[in-house]
Amino acid sequence: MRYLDLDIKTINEKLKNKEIKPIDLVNEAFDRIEETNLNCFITLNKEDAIKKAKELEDKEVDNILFGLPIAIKDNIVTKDLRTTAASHILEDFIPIYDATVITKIKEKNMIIIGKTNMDEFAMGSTGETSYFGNTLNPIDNTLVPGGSSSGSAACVATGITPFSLGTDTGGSIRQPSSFCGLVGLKPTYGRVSRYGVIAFASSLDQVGPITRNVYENALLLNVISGQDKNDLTSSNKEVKDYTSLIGKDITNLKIAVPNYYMSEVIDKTVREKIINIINLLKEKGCQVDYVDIDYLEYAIPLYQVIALGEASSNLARYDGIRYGLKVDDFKNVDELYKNTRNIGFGNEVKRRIMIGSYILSGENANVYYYKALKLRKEMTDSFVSVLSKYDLIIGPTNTDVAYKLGTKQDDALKSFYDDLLTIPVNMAGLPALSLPVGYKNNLPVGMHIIGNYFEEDKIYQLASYIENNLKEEK
Amino acid sequence: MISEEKVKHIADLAKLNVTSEEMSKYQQQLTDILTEIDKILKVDIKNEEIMISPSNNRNCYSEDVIESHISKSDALKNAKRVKGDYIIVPKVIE
Repeated sequence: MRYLDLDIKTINEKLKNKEIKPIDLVNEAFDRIEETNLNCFITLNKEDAIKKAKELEDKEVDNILFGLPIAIKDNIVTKDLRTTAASHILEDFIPIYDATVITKIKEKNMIIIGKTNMDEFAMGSTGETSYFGNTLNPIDNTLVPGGSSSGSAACVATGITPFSLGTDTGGSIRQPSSFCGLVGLKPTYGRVSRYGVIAFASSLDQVGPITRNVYENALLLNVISGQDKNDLTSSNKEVKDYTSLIGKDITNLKIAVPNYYMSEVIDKTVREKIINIINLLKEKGCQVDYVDIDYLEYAIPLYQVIALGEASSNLARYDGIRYGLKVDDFKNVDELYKNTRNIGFGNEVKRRIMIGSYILSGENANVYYYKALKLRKEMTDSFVSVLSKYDLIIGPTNTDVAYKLGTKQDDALKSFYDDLLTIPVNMAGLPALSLPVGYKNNLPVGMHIIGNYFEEDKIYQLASYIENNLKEEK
Repeated sequence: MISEEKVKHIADLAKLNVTSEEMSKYQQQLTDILTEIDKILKVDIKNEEIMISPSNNRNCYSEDVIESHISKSDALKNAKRVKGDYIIVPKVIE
């Protein structure tokens, strides 16, 4: 029997009554990594994890996450543990401090197993832009696991760790969670500190939990949330107990379904799964209405301006001087920059930096960026208006299920269109979760639950009801 | 399709090189994305309000106290060429 396959409450009991020790869990995690071979990790933290587990043997089991293994996406910095963002340009980068989320999970004595594979700088929707090779989908190794948090999702789906942290700029937690049949949450912008997260698009990025079930997701959100003096966009709103509404009656919840999320663009089977849920909720007595949210059809070009503009600025720091890759072939400083970045960045990243630099240059900033900021405000207002009348918004997370590795690699627009339904949420800064709600040809279908600002507890309330009441066979 | 000159200009802005073998690929891909982006120019928006970030936080200042942050050795730890307390860089003035 594997202890890591048990639910967290049971593992916690066994740790408390000394039936098992943290080292047993750590050993199981590393055994599973060798058995599965999905290329989930860029760097393993084996020696340190074993040391930490041994140290914990003398400590009191003082919280429910004590001694549990966790995997961390490799764009979250970890002191003295290599952090690459899956890029050649940071291949040998050793951070000198811990991200705030890392400090928080260490305070709870969780054990970091390793740094997970991902799309380079979180730019991609399949895991395939990693400098360190594809992550494989644990359900079918010929398929993509989704991305950009590819390794964080594959690792939990295959049972290496019960918990992982991902980041989500346009869908990078929800999309792979959906493809791997997991629960993944992008918190409200500002709920979780971004300090120590390698920046992609600073007004969109959030760290969030990827887990096997709803309750365990809320447990991890409880730990990583909160204001941080090192991230001035983090919110001073009180950190709730995000498990507190789980199991509470949902009859009075009012739920909106955007027409855009159920259009012909979405795979028919995926839509059917969502309709099953709508029927389940109506039977329970919830009010469920179809609504329009304005400007959603412009989410992708809007994202391209905002995200790539911010990315070009954020990635200007990779200059071959203070850290990261440095080439020896240069005659002047301009060549040092260009030659380093040319070798250091992959194609997807280069393309995105180029677009971002261009749309922010000269008069373009007024034409594109300023227009995008106005559009962002309008789209957000449209979400806010719906959420003033409804508690939650539901729909599919993705347009379809996981697809073959190597599909349309040369299509510059593909990775953006994969995030068609997830991007608008980042634009508005709202919290959203992906929940598995059935299968299409044995592949998991994810449902999207979008909440109002700082109402992650209500998202978990609905998600938990569906998790417990949906009877779906493969 | 955008011109080779424009691709070179964009690459220069981004401090990247585009080789002649890559040129036609980048012409196509950048054109595809820029065409997509042009869609937002056609949207009619009456409201002048903008949104830069979802955060509503006001600017705030830290207490003016001396604290230790990063040590010199940590600051230089990931630099490739270091001499004493300095990072060696190419000459930037003539």
